[in-house]
Amino acid sequence: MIFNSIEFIFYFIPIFFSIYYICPAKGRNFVLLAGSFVFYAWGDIYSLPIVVLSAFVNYSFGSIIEHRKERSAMRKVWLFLAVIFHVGVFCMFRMGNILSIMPLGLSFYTFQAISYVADVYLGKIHAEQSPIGYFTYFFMFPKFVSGPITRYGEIQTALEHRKISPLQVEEGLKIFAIGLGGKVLIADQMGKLWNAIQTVGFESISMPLAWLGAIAVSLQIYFDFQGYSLMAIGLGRMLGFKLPQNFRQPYTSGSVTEFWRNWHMTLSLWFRDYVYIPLGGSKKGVFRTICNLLVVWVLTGLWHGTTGNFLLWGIGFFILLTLEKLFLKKALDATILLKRVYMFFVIPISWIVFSITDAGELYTYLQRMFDVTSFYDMANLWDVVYYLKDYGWTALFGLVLSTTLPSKVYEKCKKHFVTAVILILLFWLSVYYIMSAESNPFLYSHF
Amino acid sequence: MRYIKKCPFLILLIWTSAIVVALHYGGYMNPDTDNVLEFLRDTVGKMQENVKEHSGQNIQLSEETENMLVESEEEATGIADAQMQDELPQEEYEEIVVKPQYELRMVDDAYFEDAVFIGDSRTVGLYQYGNMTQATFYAETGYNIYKFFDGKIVTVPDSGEKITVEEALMRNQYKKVYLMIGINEMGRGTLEGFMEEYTKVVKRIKELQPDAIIILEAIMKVGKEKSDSDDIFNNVNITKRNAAIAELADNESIFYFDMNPAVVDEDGNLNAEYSFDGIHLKAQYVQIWKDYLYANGIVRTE
Repeated sequence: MIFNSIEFIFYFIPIFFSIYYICPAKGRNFVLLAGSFVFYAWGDIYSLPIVVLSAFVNYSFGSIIEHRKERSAMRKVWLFLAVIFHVGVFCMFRMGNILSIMPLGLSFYTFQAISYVADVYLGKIHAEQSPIGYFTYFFMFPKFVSGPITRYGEIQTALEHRKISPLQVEEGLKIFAIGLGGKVLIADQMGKLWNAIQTVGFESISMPLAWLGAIAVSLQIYFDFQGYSLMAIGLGRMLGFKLPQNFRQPYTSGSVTEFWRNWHMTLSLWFRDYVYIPLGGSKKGVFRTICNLLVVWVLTGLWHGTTGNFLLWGIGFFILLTLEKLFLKKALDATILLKRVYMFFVIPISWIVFSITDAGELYTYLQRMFDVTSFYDMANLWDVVYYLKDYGWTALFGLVLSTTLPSKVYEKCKKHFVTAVILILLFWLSVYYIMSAESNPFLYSHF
Repeated sequence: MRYIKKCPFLILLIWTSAIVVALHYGGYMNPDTDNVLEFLRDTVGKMQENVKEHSGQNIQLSEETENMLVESEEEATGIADAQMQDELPQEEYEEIVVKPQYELRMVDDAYFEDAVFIGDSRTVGLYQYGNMTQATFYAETGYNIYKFFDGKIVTVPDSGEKITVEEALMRNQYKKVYLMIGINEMGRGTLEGFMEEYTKVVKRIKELQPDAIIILEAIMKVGKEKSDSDDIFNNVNITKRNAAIAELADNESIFYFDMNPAVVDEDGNLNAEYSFDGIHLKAQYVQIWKDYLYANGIVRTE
């Protein structure tokens, strides 16, 4: 089940939350766990056994490591085994193209699992005593499929005891509605634009259209992921949990360093705490720092995808980050203009590399982005006008909503009645788009 | 009351949901269109109708409606006449057969100066990338046969006024009318229903363009991946539809033209190399369709 579907919004949410709220506090974890199982099984029932196995293995390893407090050597071995298990399962599904049946949420729950055993090993948290408690954390449906990657310590208290007030439910619903709007009204529309451009064939697009396409993927990926993260956070709030934020207006960043402190924060923090710092971070001299960065970024690239372009994407960021660390960032911080121009190129180009898996096609696209000869024949430029007619406003909205403006406005106005009205309209508009696409797939036979 | 102040969103959500669910189960809401405003208008319209019925007004058949019923009866007999012409054996790729006063040959740009292309997004592709600026195009993504009479897709050059294709054909005369349509309609209704409307449209075009030949283009096939994975939009159904369309050709003023041989692979599916989505030709391959049109111009020999 996906969040932006009629069955989730109008069946799962009312039924599940009614049971959840009626249930006394003691039973809520169990209800949440049961609901999460239903949620998961709906989307991918065949993978459920292996995911349950992973959860059980992790719970067990956590307990074992916890209880072997004195014999530190053995503890390391158990940690090692746990990590090998999870990474092994991850690679098996990711690399093995024969098994294209990858369990839903694999990338996210694998990382959460590793963070759990690592944190127990480091003594940051105590292993969860009750299997129900641990499984509830593991399977919690808001964050299971696409994160945010939540450390156990962040919700441990809430797992044991949480109070849910109508105000919290209100807050959660509003955040959910905002996320839904971002996904359906912006991300999906930008996705359609990108699809249209692919249909034309990259060899035939003008330079402005190539840039419009790059902006489209940038907006699509952002609003899709941010939308989903907000929906997860909203649902978490309704359950009584405070899930971590994933994005902080990343497109307003002035450098790649800053960008990765604001984009998919739970992921970059994970890499920092569980790969970069254990390897020594930046504390072992310049050469080691650069090596550590390389490891992190190769892994980051591969976590996102297994084809060459993802590796290129990761390494590209590695190069820019290294340059920034050495001297570039100081130069960028000096002028605002330089920052904006720099990121104006880096962000769209990086997302193009991320989105095109075929090397030849990627090369063609990048060529189109820098082919100034397009402008010599004005007749060629009609194509960007054609697409701006249908998607221009949405793209503009997307760009405006990527700034710090919306969150400032929201913080100021969230208590107002008018805000609620606007969000309700947004909500129903999103539902409308979902319905017309779902109930009448032939309507969307827009050939 | 204080809940409205504390949790306005929640309250509004419950309240509006109740209304929406009631309307939905009352049959008022059917997202028939992807245009929100149209949908709202439809819904309000349905509600108004219902109110009128309930207030005891009898809905009399207006004169207009009665005339329309008489007209469609006449049309039914008219269609039977048109189908009296010789029909050739139906193969998968209908050969373009012409009667003595016409021949098939290579034509040049001038041939298309008085030609009009009517169709859906595939024809839009021909317009965008075929570089046939001398021809006229009445085409739009999502266009279907039902929109011929009421879909305002044609923009009048100077005034910016939007008119239907029917109206456009009333105002302008052409010598060749190309029509490629039928894939969007596969998602709803039946083949018979589609052919009924299609035949009506062809007849109307013939009335409006007495000096023109009408070239009914076969629906372009879809790619293998699409065809194999879709119950509705697949090449088996497209072939059936094309066979029905071919039956309308009289080879005197109405011709059937199949460009598929130029763009399909050995299995009869749209060549995967020529398309990204299996439905539309990539811009650089639209030339193939264009070349096929140029190679097979239908020319009067007399």
